[in-house]
Amino acid sequence: MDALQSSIAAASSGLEAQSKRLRIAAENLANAQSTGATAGADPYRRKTISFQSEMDRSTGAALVNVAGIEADQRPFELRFDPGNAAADSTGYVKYPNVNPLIELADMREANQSYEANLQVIKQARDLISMTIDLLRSNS
Amino acid sequence: MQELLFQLATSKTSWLAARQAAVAANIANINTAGYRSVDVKPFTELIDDGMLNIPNPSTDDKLLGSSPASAVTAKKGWEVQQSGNSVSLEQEMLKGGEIQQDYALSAGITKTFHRMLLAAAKA
Repeated sequence: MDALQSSIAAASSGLEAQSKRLRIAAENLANAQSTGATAGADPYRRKTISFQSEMDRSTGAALVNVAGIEADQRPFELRFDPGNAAADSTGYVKYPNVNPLIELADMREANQSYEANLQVIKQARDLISMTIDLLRSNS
Repeated sequence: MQELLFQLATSKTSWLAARQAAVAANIANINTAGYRSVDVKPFTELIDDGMLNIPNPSTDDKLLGSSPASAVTAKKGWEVQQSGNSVSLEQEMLKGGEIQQDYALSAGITKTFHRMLLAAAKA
């Protein structure tokens, strides 16, 4: 395949990966206060996402895809709240191991990388249209 | 003579397209742990190595059919992050700008030269 087409393919795989990352950050942020339903139950566990580089055989482009979505094994945060339905016998409630600041920073980075990939697509499109413009007569 | 110039411009545009693909791969993998940024060989090096289909006027036509895209090399970036990733967004953006300019130049040269040929043919 044409190199410009394969660069668009690589950039769109980047868009997809970054939007998945944004989704994971949004899920974490949305569930930042999700405790368990029964007494002493585990709350929402933070998810992490990792990427890997993958060679696309048909285009020869180094695409990116999601290597896996794992659970963050860091300990939960304990808060004393005896009135809560999820409180254990000692009155402590397990809250998710989500730090909203980290999620916001992650969202920001995903946003930036998404924009960079979009810019690559725009540039490749400009190059293609410059080539097509060679065919235009007297311009 | 005419073929030489057209072929040079065509080789340059296909080299630039290959470079754009390398930039796209780098940017797509900007958050991939352990990814090393890549770049294509410099254009002058490819000409010196005779890897382009440019007929050399002094010797005979030598058509070594190797596309510039195959000459992708791992290149040392500006910085290596903790995760082992060596892509620098700023560097890639600069490269993108360079590619755009050079591509416009090559396309412009081709267009102008074609117009000159047409003018000569009509005269």
